[in-house]
Amino acid sequence: MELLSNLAFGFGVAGTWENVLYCFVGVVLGTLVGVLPGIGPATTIAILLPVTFDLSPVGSLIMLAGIYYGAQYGGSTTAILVNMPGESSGVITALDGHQMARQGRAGVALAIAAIGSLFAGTVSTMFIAASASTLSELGLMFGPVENVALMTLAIVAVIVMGRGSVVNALLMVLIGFALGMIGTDVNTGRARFTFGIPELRDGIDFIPLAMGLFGIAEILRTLEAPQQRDVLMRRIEGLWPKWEDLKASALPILRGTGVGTLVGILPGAGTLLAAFSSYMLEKKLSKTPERFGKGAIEGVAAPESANNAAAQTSFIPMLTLGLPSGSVTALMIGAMTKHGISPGPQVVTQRPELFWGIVASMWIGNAMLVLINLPLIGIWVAVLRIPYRHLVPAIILFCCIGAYAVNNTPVDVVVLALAGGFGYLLSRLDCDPTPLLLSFILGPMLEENFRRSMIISQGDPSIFLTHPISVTLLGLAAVILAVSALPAIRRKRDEVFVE
Amino acid sequence: MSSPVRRDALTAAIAAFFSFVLFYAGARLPLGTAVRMGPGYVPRLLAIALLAVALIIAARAVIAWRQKHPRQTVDFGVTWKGVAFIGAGVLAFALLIQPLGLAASAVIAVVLTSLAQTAESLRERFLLAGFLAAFSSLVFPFALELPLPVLPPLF
Repeated sequence: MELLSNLAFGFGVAGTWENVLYCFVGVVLGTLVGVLPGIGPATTIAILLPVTFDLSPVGSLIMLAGIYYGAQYGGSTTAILVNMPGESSGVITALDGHQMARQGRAGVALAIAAIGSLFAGTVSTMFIAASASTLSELGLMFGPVENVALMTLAIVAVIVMGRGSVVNALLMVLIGFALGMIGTDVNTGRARFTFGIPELRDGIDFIPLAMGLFGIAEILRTLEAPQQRDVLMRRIEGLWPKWEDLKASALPILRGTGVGTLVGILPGAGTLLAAFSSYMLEKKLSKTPERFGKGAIEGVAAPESANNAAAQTSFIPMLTLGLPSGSVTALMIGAMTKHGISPGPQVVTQRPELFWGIVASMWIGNAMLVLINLPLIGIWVAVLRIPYRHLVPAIILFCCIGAYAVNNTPVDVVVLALAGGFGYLLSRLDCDPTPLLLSFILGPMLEENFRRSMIISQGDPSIFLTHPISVTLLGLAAVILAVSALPAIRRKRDEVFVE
Repeated sequence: MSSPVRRDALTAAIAAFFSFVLFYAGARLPLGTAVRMGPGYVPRLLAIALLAVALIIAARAVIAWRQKHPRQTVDFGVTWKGVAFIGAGVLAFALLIQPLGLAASAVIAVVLTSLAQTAESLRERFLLAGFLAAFSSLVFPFALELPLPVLPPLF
């Protein structure tokens, strides 16, 4: 069995004590930050990026993945306890989870969320391992022309799947490209748009940019609304669910896992759609749909399993093709390029230790979530009780230190400040910065591959339509664009985001 | 900034600004040909695309303005105080980290950013700043071994 030997190889990589340690630190830090109200996984990852940049590529990606699961689970904890989800998919969990907490069943809700997540994580890890073996063959057939088409598809997917107006998303893509231009031109060695600042010769660093756009901007956003929290002051007891709770949750966990696994693969779909679809499915299948929204355990079990499954399988397009499915995977791709790994189909064949190590660490991370987070729930509740006015300066300070430490230059801290202000402006203008970050990362690679393709074709752009893989990918991009323009789908999409 | 018209106008202005910078600062970069592109070729394409997007968004704003678009989003006000003090805190850190070291610049940055929110007293702000400065001076350079200067280089 190739699948099993690949997985065993992966566990060999992820199971070394350092990588287990990185995974552990990632899960704990991710939960710690993710538990803070109003802070979602993307913000958590952005804030914690500097912690990982010194590690080996495998170690840093394992830690980032751990941060992601931790943040996701921390967000659910907040959704259940405080009804203030940090991320969009937590909104669904909050519907019934917070009601359960109000009925004194917070412990059961948290435990079911963890058990569902672990089950979903196990299934989707196997799924990733199985699908990657077949997808990796593709990588050998990619040249510059195919890379251009693939990156175009990635960008189109992010434009289409994001929130709000498509034109605004396009603007974000173009601004991302423009910011990516800053630095030295690869082909000629000429400095472009550096405005005489020597530190900019290497380009804007991805870490302070991401921290500003996602971290600082998000903090500013939370300062707009008055912070009102009603943290459950009661001690959380009865962590272990009763037999009937488990019985009621078993099928929803199974179905949530199925829905999440499939939805997660769609580029750009993300965890919200997975959690939302599985919640609606449970409500439809239930004999007592009126219980939903009033503390139904199925309403926690299904979306929590679904969002975790989707969180995992969203790594499939990212790791096998370099296609991000949202801000989180865009940040991970940025981290990969920072370590000199260009995302794309060649990763599985050229860096098998990276690919299989991450896949195996996904399962380890999920197991850690259950083993660590449930016993530590008291700590997370204590974190929730820290007044927000103490947290904000602390987070900002850690962002400053992190940004400075990347290259030991104050210019990066200035970039952090500007990116934060700009990100906040964008959020006021209904522009989601995810496409910006993605095209900032892909832009330089896209330009290089584009220029190489044009040399191959002697300046004839029809080369993208004569290479079979390229024309398929571009066709797919065109189909996605066309479908999203249909009024019925647009309305549906808006509905999902409104809920 | 709550009306869609004003929002679109500002968005269009941002697009136009980036387009202008690409045209202006990219004017001296050689364009090259489609076969052998120079460093200025792709920026020029980008500047044209940004100009087009700026025009589309501006047109959208004009149409919405003509129709007196009724849809107004309920939104909280811009947190100018937050932008001012957090911005000041981060920039102060950028300016001071090299001359003053981590401990002092952390205190100043935390006190400045804490002004973005109301606190019980000035004492609370300084206590928080002192605690965070001590914490980060111990954790980052020593525990995580980041090469950060804790004290001014004179010491």
